[in-house]
Amino acid sequence: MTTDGVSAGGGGMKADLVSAIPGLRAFAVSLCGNSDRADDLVQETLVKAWVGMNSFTAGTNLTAWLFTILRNIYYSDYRKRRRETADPDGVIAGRMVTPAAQPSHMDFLDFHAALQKLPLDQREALILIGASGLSYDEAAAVCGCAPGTMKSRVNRARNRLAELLAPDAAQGVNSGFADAAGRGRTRAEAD
Amino acid sequence: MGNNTRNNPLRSVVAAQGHKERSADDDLLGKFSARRESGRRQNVALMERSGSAKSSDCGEGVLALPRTAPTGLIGEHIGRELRGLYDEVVAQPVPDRFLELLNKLEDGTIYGEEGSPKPEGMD
Repeated sequence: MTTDGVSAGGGGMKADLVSAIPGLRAFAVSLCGNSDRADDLVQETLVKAWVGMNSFTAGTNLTAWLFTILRNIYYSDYRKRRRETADPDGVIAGRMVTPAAQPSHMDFLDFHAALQKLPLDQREALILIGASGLSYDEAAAVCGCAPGTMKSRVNRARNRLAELLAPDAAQGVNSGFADAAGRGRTRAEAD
Repeated sequence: MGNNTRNNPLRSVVAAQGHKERSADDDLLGKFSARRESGRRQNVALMERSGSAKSSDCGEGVLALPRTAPTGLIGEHIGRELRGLYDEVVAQPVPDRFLELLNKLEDGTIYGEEGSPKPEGMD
């Protein structure tokens, strides 16, 4: 992703934003688990970035800067929704995001559903470090925490995901991988 | 197919697995699906091995969940799924709505003037 040569107000800004969009969308989808809402987040982020481009420091990581904006929009939206539904623990909000999160088989949870079950701080840490390609320092700057905090969030996220995906170690791991390996074929082998 | 991916990128992975024949007309997804396929074969091999281990004596070996950070099968599975989810969206073409938005921003059609109204939901 291009991060060099960004000059506020220059024509380069638009091209740089365009090249950052795929990563922004991926971050947004992983964060909120809903592609329509993700694209709304990206749209708001682009507008805010354009309006506030003077606050971008040329030569720094444009993607990280955009992630920070998107995250702020998502968090303020998230808090607003929780207030509106009088749902301080985010239980209902969590269900709204993943209506089909309840697995029909208790020994298996779909990866996407499991990811959405993580606490928000752990989910974003895992996405930023495990998929987006940002360094611990960059991800920590995006989330406004220390790099060490980011590391412990990633570890907790991975442990929680492992528990969700394989609640019973033996049974769960096999079932989880059975899905990754194609349900039909593995069922046939098991019979 | 493109529609399916656009409307719900999260599910298209599953769709690609369930309907491989449909991904043949979508080059990006086809490649993605092929890449996952090789990882999947590896999983099956590993699974078969650990499966036989489980039936004999050591359920706590490969399959036990480490307390610090998940390694081994489940750790690899998490890493692969996470990157797959992310990379799949990254590989999608930029939707027109964003290009149109940036064109409007550049033209000053929207939010072009000082003091113009901020979009909803922004601080």
